[in-house]
Amino acid sequence: MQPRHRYIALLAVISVLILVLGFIFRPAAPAPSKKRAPDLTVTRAELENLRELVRRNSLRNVAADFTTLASQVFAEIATIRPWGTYAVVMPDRTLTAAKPIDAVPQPITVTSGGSQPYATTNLLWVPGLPFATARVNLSNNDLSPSQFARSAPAQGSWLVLVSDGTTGPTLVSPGVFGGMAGVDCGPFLHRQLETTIPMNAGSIGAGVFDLFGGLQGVVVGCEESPAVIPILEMQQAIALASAPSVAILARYGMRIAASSAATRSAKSSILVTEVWTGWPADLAGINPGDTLVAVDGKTLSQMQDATAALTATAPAAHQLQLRRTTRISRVTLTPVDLTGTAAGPPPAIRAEPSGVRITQVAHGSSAEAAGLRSGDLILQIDGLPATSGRVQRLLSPYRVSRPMAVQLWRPGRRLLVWMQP
Amino acid sequence: MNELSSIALILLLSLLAGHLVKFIRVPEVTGYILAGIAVGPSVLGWINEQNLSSLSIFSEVALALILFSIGSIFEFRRFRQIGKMIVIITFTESALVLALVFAAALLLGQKWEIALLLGVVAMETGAASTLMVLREYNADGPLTQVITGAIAINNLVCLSCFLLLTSGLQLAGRMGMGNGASFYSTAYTVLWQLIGSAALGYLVGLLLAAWSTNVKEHGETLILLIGCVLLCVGLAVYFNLSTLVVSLVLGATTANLSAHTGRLSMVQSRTDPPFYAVFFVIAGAHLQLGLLKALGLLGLAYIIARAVGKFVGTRLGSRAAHTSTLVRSQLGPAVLAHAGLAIGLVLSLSRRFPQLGSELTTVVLGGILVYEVIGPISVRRVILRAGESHARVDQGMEVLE
Repeated sequence: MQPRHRYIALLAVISVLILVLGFIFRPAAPAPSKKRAPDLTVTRAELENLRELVRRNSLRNVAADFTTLASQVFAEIATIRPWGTYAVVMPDRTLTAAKPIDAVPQPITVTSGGSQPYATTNLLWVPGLPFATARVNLSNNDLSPSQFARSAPAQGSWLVLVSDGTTGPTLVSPGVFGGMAGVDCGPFLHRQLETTIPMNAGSIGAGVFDLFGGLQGVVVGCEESPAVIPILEMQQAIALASAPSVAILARYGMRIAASSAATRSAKSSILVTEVWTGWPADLAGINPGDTLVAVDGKTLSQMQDATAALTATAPAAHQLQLRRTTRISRVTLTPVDLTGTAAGPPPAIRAEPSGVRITQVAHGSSAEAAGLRSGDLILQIDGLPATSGRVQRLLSPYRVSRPMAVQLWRPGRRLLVWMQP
Repeated sequence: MNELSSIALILLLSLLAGHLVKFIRVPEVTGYILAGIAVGPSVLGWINEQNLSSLSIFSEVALALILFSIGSIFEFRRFRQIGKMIVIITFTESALVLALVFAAALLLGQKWEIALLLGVVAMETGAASTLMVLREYNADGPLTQVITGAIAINNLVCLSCFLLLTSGLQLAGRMGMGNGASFYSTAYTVLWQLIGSAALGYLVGLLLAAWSTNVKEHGETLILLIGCVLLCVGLAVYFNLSTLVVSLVLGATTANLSAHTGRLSMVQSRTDPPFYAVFFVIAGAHLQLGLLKALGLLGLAYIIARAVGKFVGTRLGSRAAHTSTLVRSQLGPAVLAHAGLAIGLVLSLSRRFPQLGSELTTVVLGGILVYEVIGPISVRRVILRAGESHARVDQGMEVLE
């Protein structure tokens, strides 16, 4: 190694040492703490909203502001009787009840605030959705559609829980939004609301609003504890459930699809692709593979005709012409009766680790008719694991209105019982 | 205006301004700076403060490239010949500027701390604009070498003085910021900024020198050069080191250790004009014309005292160092430029000690505004008069070789 190279290397080593030592022995700087408290301040827009309220009503304190805010949204929450829960007036003038229902009582009355009750008819109801919607004839404008939140609330923004005073004391409680967590409460939609708002069984049925008056969610019961259905997801689900194919499935238990290539005729035809056992289509004798030729004497040429005819409300039953291979047959298709009537008290039940035990079955009830006996252990109901809340709900005073599968354990064997409407 | 279009505007405008100022026999740099003042927030406002802050990375890189090429003046062979002379001249000149500005500020009723700070900042000679003029006229010769060396030493001296002064004042608790500053942390700052920066610059310079032997192509050389310069700046910012010292030492190390300094500087001078154009237009845009009105008596005194200090100081220094009459008579006007480091120092002052008031900032920035226009013009005159300007060679001009 030449002397020059030795110096260069020595200098390099010294430089590295200087940098390392200098970095190690650097004086502790008063570093700005990175961990900041979560920002729980009311945003500027929220503040403006509150100021406006204060100015208008010369309110003294924030709690009063929240009350005022709540009073603005009262009219938008209605009560549906006899469900005893709250409904929300959707922007398209339908009512949505945020309660899982299994049968639709008739008639339905809707009240809001101190206004006159409204009679409603014609519900869109889809099994599996935890709520139902009803079309309302709103002759006057007492029931104004809810203003829906356009987006989910931001972390740390303020929310107000508002429940109508018609069934209990008016409840207005503000709190900070901390997020939503999934909660195991059936297959759909329920969320645990992380918030500083005190939530208890009394909050069920209330609406959760942001400070702009936008509805963020509706509080429902989830095994007796409150959970929230976010309004954004509810809207999506309703849009999905309103699809004609889903409506046909819910009414008749069958699925239809347009088919053009499979048949010899050049015209497209409507093919039955799926039939649920025990449902009206099955009972009418329709099989998968049948081609739908005409509904109520009207020949079908395209898919829209079929869905329009089958989802029309006027006739309770439809006369269908079907083609199976070369034979044309006529059947009568009666939709699922959504109108329930009470049929005896529900069976008495007791929750057990592996299911729900039926302790007593009333004479003449639908449960008895279905073949349930006391001592049976319900393992699954309607395709879902049996819990006492679910069983109670599904075997409610309203007669079971559609075929429902109940999996039982009767000492010695496993049974599948169909509860028929 | 978004970043890309503001860069485009800057580049095209600087080109246009560079063409235009040729007619009035003014260096391109002055054209760039004037264009910057024109489009900046203080006049037309085409480029706003937000654009300026997002373009600041360009300035950092351009300044580092400039200092890198200045640093190559510290090549042993050359520095042994002219080093002693340059050091004597620079120290004399700096000391005189400091004394004159300090005295002038004291006479005008400033507190002695502020007067001292003003004096130290006034010592600085603008490296970037001076060097750009030298490059534009492809200057080479004894005077050019002295000018480059003087600027390098001057910037180092100015930075050291500034660090020592602020640390001293901080320790003495003279500026309302004595609380919390221990002797260790202040002494550390000085040593770290000088020695630590030098160490970093040396190490990266070693990398550059070693690697440049294996890199032959123009493009590759450019990639290596830019990579090393960016590495220096990035690490300096990360470790809180002085970008100035790091880049200077990088240049010096490369010049001494690499056998390919010529190729490096050729590659650099062929590639970096866009950086410089952006750099000077941004520098101009930062200058606020409104400051001229606010300068007042103190500002005027600052400008005059500094000019006198530079003129007389270089003359005295040259006499003491027994230089040629050319250097003695012409060096003064060549080191008038005032920017770069001075802006950085003032900004760091106002950030660290906001209670010092905006007066100091106003005075220095106003002085810079004046000197940035005058400085390059007078450098051009000096170079032309000394006959050290050479015709541009198309195939890569080698400014410092």
